[in-house]
Amino acid sequence: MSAITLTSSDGIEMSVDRTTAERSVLIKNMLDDLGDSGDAVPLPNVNEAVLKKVIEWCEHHKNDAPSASDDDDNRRKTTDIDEWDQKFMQVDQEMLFEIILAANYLDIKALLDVGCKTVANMIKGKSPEEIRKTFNIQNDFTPEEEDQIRRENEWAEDR
Amino acid sequence: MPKRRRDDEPDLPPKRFRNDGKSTDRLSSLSNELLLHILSFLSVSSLNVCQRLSRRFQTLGGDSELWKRQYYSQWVQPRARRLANSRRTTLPTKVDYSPRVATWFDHGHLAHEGNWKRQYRLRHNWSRGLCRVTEVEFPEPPCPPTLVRFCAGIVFTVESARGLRAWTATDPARCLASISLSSPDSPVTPTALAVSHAHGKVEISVGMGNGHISLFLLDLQTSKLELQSSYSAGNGTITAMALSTSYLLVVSQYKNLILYKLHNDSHQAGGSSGAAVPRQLASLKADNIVAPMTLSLRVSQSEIIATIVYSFFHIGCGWSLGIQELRLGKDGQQLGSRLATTVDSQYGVRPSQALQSGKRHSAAEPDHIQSTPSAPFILHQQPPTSMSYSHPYLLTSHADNTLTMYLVVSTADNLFVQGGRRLWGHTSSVSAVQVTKRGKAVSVSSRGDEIRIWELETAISSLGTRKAPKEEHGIPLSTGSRHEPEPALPRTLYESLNSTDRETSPLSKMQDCVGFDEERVLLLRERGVGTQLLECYDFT
Amino acid sequence: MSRAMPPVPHKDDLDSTTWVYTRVLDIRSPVDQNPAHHSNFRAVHNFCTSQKAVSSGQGLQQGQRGGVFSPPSNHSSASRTGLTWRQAHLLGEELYKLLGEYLSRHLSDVFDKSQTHTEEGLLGFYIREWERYTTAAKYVNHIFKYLNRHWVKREIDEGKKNVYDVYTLHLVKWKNDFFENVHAKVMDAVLSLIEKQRNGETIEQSQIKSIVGSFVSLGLDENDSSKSTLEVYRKYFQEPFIAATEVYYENESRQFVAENSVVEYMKKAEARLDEEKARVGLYLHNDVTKSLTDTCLAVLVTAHSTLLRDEFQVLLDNERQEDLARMYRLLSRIKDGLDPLRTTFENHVRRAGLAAVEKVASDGENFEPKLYVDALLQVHTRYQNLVDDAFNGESEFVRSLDNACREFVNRNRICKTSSSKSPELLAKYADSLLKKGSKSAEESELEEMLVQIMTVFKYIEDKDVFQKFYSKNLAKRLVHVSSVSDDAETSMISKLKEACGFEYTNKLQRMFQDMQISKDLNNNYKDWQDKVLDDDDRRRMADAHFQILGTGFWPLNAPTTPFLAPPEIVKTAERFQSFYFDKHSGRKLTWLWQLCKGEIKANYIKSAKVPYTFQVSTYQMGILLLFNETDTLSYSEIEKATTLTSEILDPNLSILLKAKVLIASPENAKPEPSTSFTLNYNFKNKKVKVNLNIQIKSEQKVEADDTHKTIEEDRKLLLQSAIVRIMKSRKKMKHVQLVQEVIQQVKSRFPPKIPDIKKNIEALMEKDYIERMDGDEISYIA
Repeated sequence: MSAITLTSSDGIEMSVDRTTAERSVLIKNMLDDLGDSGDAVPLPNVNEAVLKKVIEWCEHHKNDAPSASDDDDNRRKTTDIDEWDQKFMQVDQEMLFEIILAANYLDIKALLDVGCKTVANMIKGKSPEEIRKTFNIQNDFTPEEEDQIRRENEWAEDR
Repeated sequence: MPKRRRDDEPDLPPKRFRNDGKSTDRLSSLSNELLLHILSFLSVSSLNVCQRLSRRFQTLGGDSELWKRQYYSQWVQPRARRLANSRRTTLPTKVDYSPRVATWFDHGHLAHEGNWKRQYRLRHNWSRGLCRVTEVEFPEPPCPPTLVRFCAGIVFTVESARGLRAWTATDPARCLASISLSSPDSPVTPTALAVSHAHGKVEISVGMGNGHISLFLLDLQTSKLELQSSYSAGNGTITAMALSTSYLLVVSQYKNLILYKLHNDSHQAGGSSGAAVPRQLASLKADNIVAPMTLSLRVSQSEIIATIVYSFFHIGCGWSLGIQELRLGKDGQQLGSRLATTVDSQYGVRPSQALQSGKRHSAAEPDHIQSTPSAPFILHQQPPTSMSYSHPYLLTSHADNTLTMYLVVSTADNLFVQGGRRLWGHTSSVSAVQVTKRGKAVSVSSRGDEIRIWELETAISSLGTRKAPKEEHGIPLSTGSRHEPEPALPRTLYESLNSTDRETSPLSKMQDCVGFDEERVLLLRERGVGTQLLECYDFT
Repeated sequence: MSRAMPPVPHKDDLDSTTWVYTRVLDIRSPVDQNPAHHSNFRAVHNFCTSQKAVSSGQGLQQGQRGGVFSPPSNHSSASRTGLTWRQAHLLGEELYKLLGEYLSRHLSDVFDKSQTHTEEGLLGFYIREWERYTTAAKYVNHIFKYLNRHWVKREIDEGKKNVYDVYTLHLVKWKNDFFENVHAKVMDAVLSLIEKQRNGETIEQSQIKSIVGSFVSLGLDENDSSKSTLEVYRKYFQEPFIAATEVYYENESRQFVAENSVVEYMKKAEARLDEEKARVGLYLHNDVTKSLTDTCLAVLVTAHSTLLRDEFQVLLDNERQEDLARMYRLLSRIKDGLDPLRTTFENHVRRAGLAAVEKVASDGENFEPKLYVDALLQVHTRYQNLVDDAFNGESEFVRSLDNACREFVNRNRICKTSSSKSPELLAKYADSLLKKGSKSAEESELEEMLVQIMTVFKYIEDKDVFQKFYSKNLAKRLVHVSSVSDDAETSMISKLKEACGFEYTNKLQRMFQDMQISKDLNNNYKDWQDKVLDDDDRRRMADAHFQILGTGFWPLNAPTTPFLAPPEIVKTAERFQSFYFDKHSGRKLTWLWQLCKGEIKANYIKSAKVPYTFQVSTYQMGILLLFNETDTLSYSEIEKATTLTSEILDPNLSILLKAKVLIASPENAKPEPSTSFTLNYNFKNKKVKVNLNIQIKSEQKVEADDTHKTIEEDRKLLLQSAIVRIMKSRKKMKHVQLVQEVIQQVKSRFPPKIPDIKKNIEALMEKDYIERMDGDEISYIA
């Protein structure tokens, strides 16, 4: 099993098992297209700390079966996250969003889903004001606008 | 768009890498595709909450693709899955979500929908019976009897004094167009009304008490209402009509069933002159048709199927329905005629058996009953108060507070009735029912002043399985009171109609007072003497 | 490899960093030489996510980079419902557009260059550019993966047309910007290459294979760009290819036919068809197979089918089996190609059969049945083999063969006098095989001949005639115990049963049963005798064997003459009779004296050391035993003592005279009332056993005539019973229908004549079985 080298945005090189690295479709395509020259693969969008975290995830999931369909609806049905991933995602918001960005950039679908589900869980069941507070979202509505939008969206409650 | 970027500093990566403490809105700094991905994990109510966060989230949370997916998992997938389970072997129904609406089970007609949130909400409101009610008193009180039809967002009313009038459903106070029926010195009574919508135009046919039929055309663009032609069927009062793009089916008092072709296909030219006279394609003499009855006309590529549904009394199971289907070629040659009744369904005979026995016996014969020793599970001692047939759904309303639903199966080889089920929910005699071909039905209970809406599609899919059907309850309309004051309780429709309609059973005419489409239900009511109200239940 | 870059389009439209990165990928240069590739993977992502951190709602103004929101006013429906409804907007459109434009420019470049190439050069160029382009497309697709994942996917989800994933975009661009302009020239080159190969030159097939591959790749499903269709390939490759093929073979075959024989042409056509079939496998798409084959067949076979068919008779006459097979193969592949041949073949076989029979008949009336049957079989076998070998045993040809055989078996010169001649001869031939003393000793050989008989039997129309003669002969073989073997007999009967059913062979089987029963009966009789007889009886008893034959099953008649049996056997016969009636009271026994035979010892001839034994018929026995009392008897004395009619007596006396057992006086006188007969004491013969029981010629002839007569009678009964049976079940029927039905029921036995049927219907009406109703209807009278 061959190992490859990844270079983070801050210039740190990391050696990773190729199978692990290929959880990232981006890296897989890069290696396929360019051939494994032995050179380090530069990942200028991901810093060391995030890359480490991502690699940790990939290590743990390297033997997962590739998800069957690209657009699996059941995935969306539930925001359940398995235990290991939940622990894995117990990071500060900055890291959480960095992981999401990295997973998106590196095209690691399952990791991206876990990240997005984590964020979705943070939104669920909260009032708009609570959500704004959680994420520091600025309310850019006028009070009249806000009132109108509230009324427009009142029709649906969860059962 | 290009110009504004020129001023921007070209440096990347963006700011988010330099992050500074608490006040950073990291969520909003994500690109739209990521935010949409996050939102795709949320429920409908959370999406609504998110829309209230900020302008950006308002847009993202209302994203049509997100709602399309929600619509699918809420309304389409459960049925598709149930169907896939019940006939796992025969029909490979696709259950997984696909963004291509055309592949959705039974929802291909929504393929061009652009605003899925709106669509979701509409469906949601129907399912809960949530609507806004607007009530309009006609500016010039029509003189009963008034017939109402609702088509393409336009309400059509016809009565002898004011003639044919068109109103928009969104703003019923405004009369869109009107045209008188005849010269004022010889008043005529309209007795039947049928409308049909095609290519931005609505065809209207009005049948009169003196056997005349007038054809009108409403241009939806210009709101121009024109008389196309007037023609005498010459056979007494027109009692029922069905209209489908350029074909008209008429039944008169003397039980004459006539099919007309209205005009040649170049109706642009012929239509304006108004000279085109309907061509009679076929005529049948019917006897033994007891009101109420209803007509239906289906026009396909190759043939016309004209159906008449009537009620008759059956010794074993009381009032039953007979369905006669006439299949005609486009130029009127008769291809075949066949008959089916609801008798087998009322005994709960399975469709396959019903088919066989239908072949063996011309009608219900004694040994027929022996083969099904149990009593009929649908037994009506009184004739239905009204019926509505929109293939394949056949609904009748009854004075015993129920509706009965049947499914008509019409294939190249066979015509038979499947299922047969009582619908419960009304708390008083049901006086009118209307159904669409998508299985949405509205029923009106005159005494109880109650309107119920029904989704029959779901009822069908459980028919196939033949399990003990869990009773489908219609949803009573609960009006969103904050939009409008609670409508004053009108007097029962039954009474008001009873006094005006002399010729046919009063109850059968109730049908002409209800109309609905995908978004609204309309009801014509009479309050006091000479005051008529048009009520509009808006589900959007 | 690096060439001048095209100027970057709308440089100011896009963030320069992003576009620079993407455009670095020159799709004309191999990727691995491009050091910037790594960064390309990042560039698209950065472009699409390029969105300044949105600090506040105020940032969402027109100046906001990337245009996150589209203006709400675009959506009029929003205002209609009162809901503020906007569609979320993703970045990527500009990038997508620019990529498209870039590809278009590249392709117009490629097109310009292609102008300098022609023929094979153009093919080489096309293939080179295509391979390069698609290789690059794969890389570019990876680089633009982010665009595919988000922007493109969303556009497609929303149902937008003309947005494809990046790889497909490459294909679409190639098709629209390059392919559309060159496909005609490329196809011209391909077609001229193929023509060269058809002319026998060697070509580089891989080129065409590559072109086919390219054309196939360009077919995209309108509704789902991830699926491919063969539309482009069919329209731009298949159609011109098929058209060219048609022209080529039209010319070639026309010329070839003019210069060569038909036989040669067939070889050529077959070779060409094989060649084209192989061509599909070599470098064409499988999809073409059907239309290519159809075209070739139309041009090579259908167009010349008349010519080929005209040759058929010639080939048949000369028995050119191989060429016939080739013609069959060719014509069998076109619609209705063989039908005219079948008629020709049928006529040919019929003529051959008639000619063979003619030859047999030309040797006069008296030919061996074997000769006739062999002649029929020979013709059948020859053409059966032809059908099997050359015509692939095809069922329609088998039918033609059957039709022809049925014709010449039932209607030939020998049958001219009577259509029942064939079955009669066949039955006789069967008898000759099954009778003791025929030459074919080998059992397997015999079995084979029986099979051959069945072959002819299958064609016989008057199967009832065969049955009659066969059962007559069988009866004789059984009664005279002259069957060659029981196994052969049962084998034949089971074959007949298989061909015609139980009813047909029922009587034959019953005859066998009777023989078995008789054997048991004789044993019982012997046991009984042992108990009952006294010594005196025993001494005077003739050693007898009895056969009890059921009247209904055996085609035998009671004797035509009265006969006073000699007292020596009368005693024995009476004793058996009493034994039999004891066992089966109420039955009637009729002695068939004409079939009985016996042996008598001539103790009077002194010259013989061992006394001669005469094998004689009962009649002869009756005559000879008279001479125990006296040496000379007159004709009338014999006639009186035996009571035989002269028709029987005369021939039998003649046999005895001829064998010199008796001597006539006057010498050499015929047996007639004036003749008297003396026992010849000087009788001499080489054998000790002398067979005097010889069939009499005239008897044979009479018998055959009788059989024919009974056939007519039987047919009448068969028809009547069929009519009654039908009417009984149908009650009422139209006359015409009834006739049809009767024909249906009876034709497995013989082909009934309609006048006969009508006659029998009339007869039944007279007997009040049926009556005529109104309007040609007949009704059954219960």
